[in-house]
Amino acid sequence: MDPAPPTPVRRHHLNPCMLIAHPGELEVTTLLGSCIAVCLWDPSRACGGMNHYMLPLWNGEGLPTPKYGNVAIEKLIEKMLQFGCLKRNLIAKCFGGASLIADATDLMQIGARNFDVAEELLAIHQIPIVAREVGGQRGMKVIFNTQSGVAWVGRFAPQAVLPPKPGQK
Amino acid sequence: MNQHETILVVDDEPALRASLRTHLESIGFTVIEAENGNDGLKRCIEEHPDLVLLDINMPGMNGYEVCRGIKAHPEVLDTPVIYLSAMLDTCDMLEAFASGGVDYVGKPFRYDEVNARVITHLQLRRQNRQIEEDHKRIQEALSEVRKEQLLLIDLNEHLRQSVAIKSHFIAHMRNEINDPLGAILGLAEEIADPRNGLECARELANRIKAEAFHLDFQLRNIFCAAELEAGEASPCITKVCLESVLLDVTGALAAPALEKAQTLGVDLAKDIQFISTDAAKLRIILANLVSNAIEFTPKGGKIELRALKTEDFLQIEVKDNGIGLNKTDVSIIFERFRQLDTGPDRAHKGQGLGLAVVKALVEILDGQVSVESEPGQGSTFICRLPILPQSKNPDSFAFDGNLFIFDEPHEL
Repeated sequence: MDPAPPTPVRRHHLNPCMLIAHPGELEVTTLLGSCIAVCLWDPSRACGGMNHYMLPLWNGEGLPTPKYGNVAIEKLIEKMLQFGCLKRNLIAKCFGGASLIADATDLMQIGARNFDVAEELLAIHQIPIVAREVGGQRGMKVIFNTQSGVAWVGRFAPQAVLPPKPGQK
Repeated sequence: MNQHETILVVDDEPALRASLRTHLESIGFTVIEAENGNDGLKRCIEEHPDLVLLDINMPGMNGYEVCRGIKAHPEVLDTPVIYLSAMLDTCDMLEAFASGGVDYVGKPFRYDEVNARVITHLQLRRQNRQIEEDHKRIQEALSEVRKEQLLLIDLNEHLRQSVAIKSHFIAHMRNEINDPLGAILGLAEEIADPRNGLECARELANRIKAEAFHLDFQLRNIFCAAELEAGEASPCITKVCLESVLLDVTGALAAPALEKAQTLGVDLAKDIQFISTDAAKLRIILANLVSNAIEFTPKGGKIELRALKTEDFLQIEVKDNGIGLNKTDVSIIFERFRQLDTGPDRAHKGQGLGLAVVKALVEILDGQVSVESEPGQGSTFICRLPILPQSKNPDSFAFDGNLFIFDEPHEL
């Protein structure tokens, strides 16, 4: 008898300002410009999650949503802990934070500022950043497998303009 | 029997004193002696015995005089005095009682009689003292109750005023909510009307936006005030980019300022990019101060929002060149529901809630708010917030039940 065909991996596209964590296998994709995606993975439980935030710090406007780095990272850690992960087992991979405008002023360096928040908060939680692909002037696509922890990153070609979808950076 | 009770024996006959001492000590009293009236009075005042056995006929000061002396002294006047006397006729007896004695024992006396009388009077004295003490305690309790009652009367008056202010406030607030809501409904109907063109719709939508903004602002203040009133407001400290908050507030209020042709400037010192504070509360504080400045500054005025670092404080100033305030006004503007110009024809919007909310929020953040102003010279509101050390615990957003932010996997 033939072995049962392997079940296809479930996939999920993560939109900006959202986050997802999954206890099983899930292939999460997202598109990044100056946004940051932090992937957390627990090797001992083989589960992981990813967020996608646009701005570094919540400024009190509206609700504290994962649009802001300090909310998105806390919430992702919280979700991982709910799956039974231990904080000391978690590792992080960070992507994005490109600066798409060549000569942006200080406040406009959103990409760099976004990554600063990730570095700072992960350090406070003592979660090591084991891989990163941040900065540069081109956006990227990230595919992250929540079970294997493998993250695949593809930079957009230099001449490629970001797809003009609203809300995606 | 109380072992610690002391009896003073005043008699000029040493033998009698000695025999009384022997007897009284044998049943557990402490005995002190005096051999004449002067000495007796002195020892009584100095040593505060619990009872005095007093001879009447003594050289020098006699018993009656000693007794009057004791009764005249405030510290020992309640000491019972029992006379010891060879014989007392009715006259002497009356004199004895008139001078303040409580009893007498005839000489030659029997010890059991002395015993009985001494014990009786000591007991009476104890009971008297107990009663006095109880009385004193009751008086104290009563005065305490009276004090509490005064407090309650005060509190009641305060509550009464508070309720009056609140019903006034609710009447007021109804207008504040109904007016923009009515305008929004009316404008929306205009848009829905097929006879109106698209160009018109854009204009109407802008007006709806302005009204809705005002409504949103008022509702936020009301909810914030309700939360403060319920004592549920607590600071949620996170790292905040000050510039982002300042720009966000001025951006949100740019439209009303533009309508009055006011300039709205932001001046942020370089050394305070990031602070640890409650972002939402800081935003409400600044939004209220700036919106007040816009409201109370005439057309073409100038409003400036400055943030700087002084010692250990973050100082945020909102300066306008508007109508200003006089001294008495300065003292009441931070009270709830207080707008200086009241009445149906008042010129300014709002329920007078903004500054009270500002004050309460600043205080929750351990800061102070003050105002410097002269009538006609504009006002400067100054918030001083402590610069907190960088938060070591970034979990401020954790576990607040916002589950809607989590994505669920779905097929791509």
